[in-house]
Amino acid sequence: MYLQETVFIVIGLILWPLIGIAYYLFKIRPEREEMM
Amino acid sequence: MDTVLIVAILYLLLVIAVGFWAHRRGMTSWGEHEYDIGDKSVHWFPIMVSTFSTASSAFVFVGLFGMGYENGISMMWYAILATMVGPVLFWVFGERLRDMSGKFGSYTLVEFLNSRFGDKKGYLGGIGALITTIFLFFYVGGQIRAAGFQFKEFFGWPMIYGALIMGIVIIVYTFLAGFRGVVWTDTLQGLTMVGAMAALAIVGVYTIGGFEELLSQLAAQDPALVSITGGMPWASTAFTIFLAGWIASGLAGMGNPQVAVRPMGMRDSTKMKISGVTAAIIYAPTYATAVLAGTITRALVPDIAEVDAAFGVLVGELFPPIIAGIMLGGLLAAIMSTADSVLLTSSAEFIRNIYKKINPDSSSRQRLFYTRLLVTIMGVAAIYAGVYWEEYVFWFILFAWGGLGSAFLPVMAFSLFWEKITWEGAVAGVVSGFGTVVVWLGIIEPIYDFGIYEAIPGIIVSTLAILVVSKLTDPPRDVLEEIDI
Repeated sequence: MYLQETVFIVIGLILWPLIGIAYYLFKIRPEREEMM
Repeated sequence: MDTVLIVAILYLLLVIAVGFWAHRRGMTSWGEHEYDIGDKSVHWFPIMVSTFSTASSAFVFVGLFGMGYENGISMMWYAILATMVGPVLFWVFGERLRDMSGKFGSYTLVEFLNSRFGDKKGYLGGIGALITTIFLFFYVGGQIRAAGFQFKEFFGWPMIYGALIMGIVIIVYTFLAGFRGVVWTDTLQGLTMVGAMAALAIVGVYTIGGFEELLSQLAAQDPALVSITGGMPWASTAFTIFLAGWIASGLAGMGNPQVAVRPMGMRDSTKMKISGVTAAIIYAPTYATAVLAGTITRALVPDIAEVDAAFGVLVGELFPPIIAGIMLGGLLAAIMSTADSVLLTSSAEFIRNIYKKINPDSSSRQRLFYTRLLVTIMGVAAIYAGVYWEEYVFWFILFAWGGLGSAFLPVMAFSLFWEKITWEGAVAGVVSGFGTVVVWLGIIEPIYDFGIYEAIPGIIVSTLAILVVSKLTDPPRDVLEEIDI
């Protein structure tokens, strides 16, 4: 019951934090390593 | 109730103390620039947090909360789409905005646009500052009104008492502390907001007995409350317009001068990207938890007379008075952190872009004096407007977010990334973006009732105007090459 709805709420809660972490891992960290 | 009030007042005193502390720190290099933007030397963390607390305002606690209460889980789309404001502002625009405004020596968004186009007479700055000052004035009025309303709900006071308390606190510390103080108090307020929302959502879900129980209680009231699409079919025009509206709202946020000014004050442009990450991780979930907490309130108390009071009702339902006092502090924090920035931005825009053009020989000391004077006058007028000009305040706020966003976002974006934009194109963009929102909300929507968020046509028309007019007019002298960006 309400599996889809629960997943939707959880996505709403964690989507941006995940994007933030991904941005850090795949964009900021490689750039920093390159600068080193 | 007394405990709630005492805790909330202690919180207000803490905020004033932080303002004073920042004021003392800034004393060594006290001047007009220091006041407007902290001399571009504020640490990235407070800049990031204050950007979010400025962008959030009473809207998170009152508006978004109420939307969750009324419409259910479909409002989570807001949290998914419109929260792009922070991360995207820092990731896409931040670095160039800071570098370019730094080279031009500009301290506000409108001033930046004016220097970007080498507008010596200051027409662009004048138009921009006028629009900004008028709309942001009413925006402050609306925030103060929200404060008065919450005091009324919590303590049964007349509106004017709460409005006066909050208004005076806001004026005093904006007056004393300037940008540096506002950023630091906003940081405190921002962290309080995050904590308050997270606590409400977690305790709320726990009290109800989990997501499953929450959703089935909502569904028992109205199946649309638990519909991901708000009861609309997935592949429908209505749902597409619904989603597009939230995207436009997020975009418009970045064009609001009091938000866009934030990255300009950042000391280290390499920290800009980290700020975006922090914004995504800390702040975006606050919007989502506000929606969730709104739906929790609906499940627990289905029959609230005024939706704007949903926050107070849930706090009263879930927490003992001491915690409720801190929660009220969180709400006041949201209101203040927006009102102070807006008050400061609109005063600074007016003095820098209009007064400075009328009286170019004025010293920076004089301009600081007039900025502070304007902060005081506008603040007092905003208290009055907030309490007694209800109709105008609602009307202006309705236009403010989308109107300012449509006027400035496309111009800002093209100014940063497109060399061929001309002065004429920029003026056309500001005027048409703003004008479209006014016409759309004032004339088209009342007749046709499309239900389309006004920033959608606003941003589209402004973008087209910039492109077409810039193509038709003479290419600009190469400002970008001159400053070597």
